[in-house]
Amino acid sequence: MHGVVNQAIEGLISQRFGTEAWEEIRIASQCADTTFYNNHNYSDTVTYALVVNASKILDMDIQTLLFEFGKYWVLTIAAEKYAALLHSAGKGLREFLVNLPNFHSRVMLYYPEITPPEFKVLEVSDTTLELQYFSKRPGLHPFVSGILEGLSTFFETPATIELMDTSMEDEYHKSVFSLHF
Amino acid sequence: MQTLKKLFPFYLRLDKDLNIIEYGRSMGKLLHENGSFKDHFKFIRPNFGITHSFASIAEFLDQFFILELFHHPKKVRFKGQFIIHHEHEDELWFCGSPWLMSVEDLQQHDLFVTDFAQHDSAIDTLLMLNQNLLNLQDNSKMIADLKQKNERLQQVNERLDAIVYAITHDFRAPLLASIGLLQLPESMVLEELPEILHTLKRLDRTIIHLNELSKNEKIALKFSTINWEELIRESYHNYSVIYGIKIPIHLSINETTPFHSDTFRIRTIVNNLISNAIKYARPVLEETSFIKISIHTDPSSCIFTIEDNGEGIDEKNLENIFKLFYRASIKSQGNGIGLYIIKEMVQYLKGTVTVKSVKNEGTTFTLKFPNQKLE
Ligand code: HEM
Repeated sequence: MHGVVNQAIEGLISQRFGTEAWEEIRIASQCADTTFYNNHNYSDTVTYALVVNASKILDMDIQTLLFEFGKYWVLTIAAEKYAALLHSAGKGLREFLVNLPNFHSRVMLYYPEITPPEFKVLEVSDTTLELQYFSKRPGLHPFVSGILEGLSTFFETPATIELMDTSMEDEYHKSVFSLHF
Repeated sequence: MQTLKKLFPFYLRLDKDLNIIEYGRSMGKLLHENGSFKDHFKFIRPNFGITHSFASIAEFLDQFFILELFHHPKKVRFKGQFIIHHEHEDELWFCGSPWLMSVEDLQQHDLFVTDFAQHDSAIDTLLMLNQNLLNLQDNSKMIADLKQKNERLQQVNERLDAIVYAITHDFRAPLLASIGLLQLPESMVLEELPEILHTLKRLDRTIIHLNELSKNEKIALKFSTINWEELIRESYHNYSVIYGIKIPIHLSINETTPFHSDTFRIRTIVNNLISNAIKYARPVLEETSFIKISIHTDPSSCIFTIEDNGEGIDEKNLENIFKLFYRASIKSQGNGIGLYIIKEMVQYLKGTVTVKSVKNEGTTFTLKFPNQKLE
């Protein structure tokens, strides 16, 4: 996984639980890297190991942790590195999400080696959007929930976010979210 | 026509007199009135030999254009090309898009990614520029990391050199002496046993010291309340037993607030200082030898002073005593690690250590530590 995702894990743990907790988790995960760079690709095994060990050491369930990592990613990492980029993709959360499917496709142009997720957005009504998330990686839908929650704060667009369904389609793990504005 | 509009949301349609007769929906965010092309746009490239006339532009149809919307409060430049559509031969169409240098520029012009056509690589170039900035951030972080690691390596290397030197010289000499003594006829070996034991014990202390030194690097700081009285009494008792000497100790503790620091390091520092004070006491003084320890803590710091009337240190050696494996004389009983450990640990605790000494009169060490906050 790309460095920006691992940065969220490192950042949140160090900020809320201290650098000692982070060191313990990093070492337990056999992660030799002491810093994650923005533009570097790391093995997915490291990312999953960090999450699993963080869950054990901090005694928090994996889903809650992933959700928190997602929120932190938007509100700290992306707000610092990609604020203008996020704003450039929409005036509010709804407009932003309608454009979301293009986002990772464009990112893939300059990081051809990554496997970013795909999204489909259906405008169900004036107040409801359906967001479908497809990833080759398993179990990350709580991370998406956290990102959506963070985006709602970032764009100052209140919304209720609900996970409707998770399933497999071909080699993709699919999750369906309903967003009500 | 509709297709073209979709592909170039920043297009301009000009008539024979170069009046703007239509513009794309995204161009509408930057250009708010039709009027004459000349009143709004100037040619940046091509610039030589081009005029604001249909015929002149028509001569440059095979060229790449940079136009500047100069009336706009923050002059916007466009890149693109002019074409003449076969069904509208008396019109010139400009097909292109704004050329911006950062994602922030988009915001400044109130533009969104969606104002650009999907195929337009201008937006990808912007994203790439943004990514380049992050790359630069990475680079400076990497350089800083490398610099720090380099310094660290250099330090470790120097220490390693000193350790190897010590092992080959200082460790080997007592070992060879002990081996020599052990090879004497049995009756004589028995006689030499106390000397051998003494030599080996000294070697063992050196090894313990080296271990403490390596722990200083590895063990994370852990702050708790320091119980000075208990810590000093325990250390004093242990070293009095080890050296078999009992020197009177005067302890004065003035603690206005509890002192918080790293127990492992404070204990090691105190052990080394007390052990030195006992080890270097002058036997001739007998009962008049003393060790005076005074401690003063306040919310921000703690000052620890230890004074003795022992052997003292020659002035010329004072500046070197904190160096690794430094020994004032060949006869020195120490291994040259104790004071180095003290210096390293004090530094680790962000404290300071100073020394005053007069040969054959005594020595005073003054240490100052920050009072840490407990989480
Ligand atoms: C500034 C905007 C964004 C950038 C630059 C960005 C970039 C990236 C990158 C580089 C990865 C790593 C992919 C890999 O290593 O294979 C990633 C993963 C991911 N991104 Fe984004 N992203 C952005 C916004 C979003 C948003 C808004 C969402 C969700 C609503 C999202 C959801 C995810 C998820 C869930 C992953 C984990 C990988 C997976 O699911 O397979 N991202 N992103």
